[in-house]
Amino acid sequence: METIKLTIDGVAVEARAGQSVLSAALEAGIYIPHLCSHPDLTPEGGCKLCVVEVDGAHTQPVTACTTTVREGMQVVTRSEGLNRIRRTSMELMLAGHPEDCTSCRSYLKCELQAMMQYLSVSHARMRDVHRTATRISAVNPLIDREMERCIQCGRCIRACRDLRGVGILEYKKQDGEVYVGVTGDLSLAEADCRFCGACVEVCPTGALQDREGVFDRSLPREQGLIPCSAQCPAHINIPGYLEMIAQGKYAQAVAIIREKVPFPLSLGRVCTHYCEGQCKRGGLNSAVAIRDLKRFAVEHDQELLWKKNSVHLPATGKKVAVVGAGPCGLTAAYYLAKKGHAVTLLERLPVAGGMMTTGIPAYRLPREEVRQEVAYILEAGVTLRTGVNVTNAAALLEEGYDGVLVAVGAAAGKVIALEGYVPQQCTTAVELLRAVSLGQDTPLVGPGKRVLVLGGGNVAFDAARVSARLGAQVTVTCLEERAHMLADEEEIVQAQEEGVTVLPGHTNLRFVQEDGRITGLEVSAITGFRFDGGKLLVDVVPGSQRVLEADTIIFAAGQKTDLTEDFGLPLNRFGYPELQGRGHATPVPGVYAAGDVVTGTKAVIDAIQAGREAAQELDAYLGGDGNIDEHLTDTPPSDPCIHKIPGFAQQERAQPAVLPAQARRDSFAVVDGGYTEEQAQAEAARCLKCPLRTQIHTVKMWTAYQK
Amino acid sequence: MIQICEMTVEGLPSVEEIRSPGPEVCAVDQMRQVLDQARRALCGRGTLCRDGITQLWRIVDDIARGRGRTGDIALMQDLASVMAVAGDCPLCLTCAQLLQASVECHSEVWNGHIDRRRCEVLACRGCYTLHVDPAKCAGCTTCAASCPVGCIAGGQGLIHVIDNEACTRCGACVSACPQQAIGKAGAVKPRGPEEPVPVGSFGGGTVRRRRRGRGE
Repeated sequence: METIKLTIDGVAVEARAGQSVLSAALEAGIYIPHLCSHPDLTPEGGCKLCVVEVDGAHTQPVTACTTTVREGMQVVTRSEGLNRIRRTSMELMLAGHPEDCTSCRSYLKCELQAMMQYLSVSHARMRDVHRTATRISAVNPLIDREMERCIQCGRCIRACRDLRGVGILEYKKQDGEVYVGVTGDLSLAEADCRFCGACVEVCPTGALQDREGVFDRSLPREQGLIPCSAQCPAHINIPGYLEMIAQGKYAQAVAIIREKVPFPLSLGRVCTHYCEGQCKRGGLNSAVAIRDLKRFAVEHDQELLWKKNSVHLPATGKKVAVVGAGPCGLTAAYYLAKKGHAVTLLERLPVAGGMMTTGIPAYRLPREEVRQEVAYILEAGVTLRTGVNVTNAAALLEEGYDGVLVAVGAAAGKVIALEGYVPQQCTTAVELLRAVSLGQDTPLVGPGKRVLVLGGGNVAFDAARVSARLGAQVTVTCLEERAHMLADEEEIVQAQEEGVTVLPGHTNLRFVQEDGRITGLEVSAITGFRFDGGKLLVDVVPGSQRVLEADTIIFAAGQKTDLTEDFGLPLNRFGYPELQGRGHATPVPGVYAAGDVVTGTKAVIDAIQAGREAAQELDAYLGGDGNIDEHLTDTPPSDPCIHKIPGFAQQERAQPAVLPAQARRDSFAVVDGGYTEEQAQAEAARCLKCPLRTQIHTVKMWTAYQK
Repeated sequence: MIQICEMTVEGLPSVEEIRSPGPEVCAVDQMRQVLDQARRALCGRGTLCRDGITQLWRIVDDIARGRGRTGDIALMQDLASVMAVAGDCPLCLTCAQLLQASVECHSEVWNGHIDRRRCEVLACRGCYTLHVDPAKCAGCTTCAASCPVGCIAGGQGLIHVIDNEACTRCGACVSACPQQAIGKAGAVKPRGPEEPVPVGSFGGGTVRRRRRGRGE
């Protein structure tokens, strides 16, 4: 690269051939004020703040952003004449801009405000220009356009046109008044905006803003701007794999997912998809079906690229015992084995998988799929021993293990002992689900039985739908009103379709007995409830008591651990192992604990992330570098030029094929049929490509420069 | 000029036409029209052009409406000189040059507008009032119907009266009147009734006039 030597304000500066005077000066730490130019945009020279004198003050000033460096060039950035041009231009911009900065959301983040301070310019001298075209195209999803704050620098127009190839923003005129408008004065959605946010990103004022709540501003910019990945406990590069799916590159998509989690297919079935709750597209019409697409990618990955690129380090000679083969333990075992440690996985039940094989019903998560993913983990060198009940974790250290991870989950269902409780007629959701999964008899649930499930979360609905499949007549009742029930909406709706009665907004009063047997549960409608110091307080609707007839009661009121002091670990007052600091180390050196056993019942993805973190800590404890990150595929950077797509904003979320209710009720067959390839690619292409915005540079204000 | 576009506008006056505008042309009104034409034509990309021409137009329009301020001329000259050095296109350069020439050659006209609301040819809205000639008015109500702000009082067979406080000098009534009875007035106002009176009843001694200092 050819180097050009020039002087700026008497300072010798080296620049690259073809570079602008402005960029050369800024890189050399010499500040030249500028507003309409932006590091990623074609320079325009419209705002005239970057005027400089070149080769003698008597020549015509030029704009530094549009002037290319020349060998031996002598640039002067400060003079009375230049200052006059800059101040006049600023005064003109301010004439049409509101004076009150403090009411603006960009207050203290605004380039215009910073420039007012730098140039010591106020509104005073010029006539106020009241604009009338500011309400055109003003109401939109995701993007707030407060165009009375617009200084018409044209950055958004150039970003939309040049960076994105969309080009729906333009200078427009109404009755002699210039405004920055949308093609045809349409709303952004009607104009086929891609809602990429580039315009917001480059706006130097508060004119273009993200709708409040779209991004989490407490996070660092690079994370906060990609809400799905930020929200995912494992921070999977979601936009990255969606793009691969849209291009039909399913092996690459799976490799991207597997860089963070070893259970892509199971997650594709049952993940609680926190990501979809934060998906920016949700603010436009409906969130991208991230979970269903993950499943589609795994089911269509023919190459297993991730396996070819997976790295297995040489043996370290260290031995690790992982207690509990649920998602947390399996994940930790996988990454520890790949770091070269000899890992033995100890499982109390006859099968590995934890809640993935003995909790979540098979119609939601087919056992064969979990078995395949567990097999990949064992292939990495993990030894699995099932039917082993570890009674003392600390004692494992004496058996020759260098490190131990306790990941036994929260497998004991909580029981609420109401008045009239008869243990023989009561069970917990976890017990029922485990029994059904292991093929055991379920005497309490079967044809002709009236089953009452107490609880409104996903586990309650698993128990309810399993009971329905076993032939029982099922009612689910919970405290929450219908709109605030904890279970996924599709779970509730599908359960109702399968004949389950749902009775939300009720509190349980007592069991009704006849001859020492429970015949029903007396409930009462409530208008609200709250917890005061752990004690439940309900607002009962007077006179609303009724009795729900029942033969069997299933408690789905949460789970807890069943650890005792004999397990060799100090427990807190709730029965969970005590941890040191923010990590997963217990007070016993070499023993770590992670997953539900630490946090109480959480989602599979939370357990996987806990397993990853515990593996990092254990690896570091065993002398490794603690880095389990993997690079499983090379994907080219996303093309920022995304073009216009007709009808893009109106594209609705694709609906997967679901088995009819009657067929579902009669079997444990998989309910969700998934997407067709055409559906999947179209759904993935609905992604708003949030990461593109992080490629845009932020402008450094004058305070960041020395000179 | 630091040119970013090629914008020019056909039909703008030359510097010579600004210097010698002709007997019936007001320099301020002429400049107002130039700037209005320019602001409607400009492309909007450059600040000095877009906001500069708009600002000049706002100031000149204010002056023409009788709302000029002391210091406006200096402000416009300052603005025009910056536009001439760093403007964006031939259009804003031309506007700056024409404004400088106008202010230079017709400073009395400009100052008359600002200081005394005085427009010799009665072209500027802030410098004249509109009046119905009581001798010509036929009481037909056409003018009242044409007025967009409803500031003309009258009725069938009455001499109409314009409320010049509310009047915006849009001129709709002037062209609407079939009798050509409505005209402009500068510092000297014509006589007329203060309220609508029947056609033919004003002037010619039919209305008694009180004269100051003479008792009756």
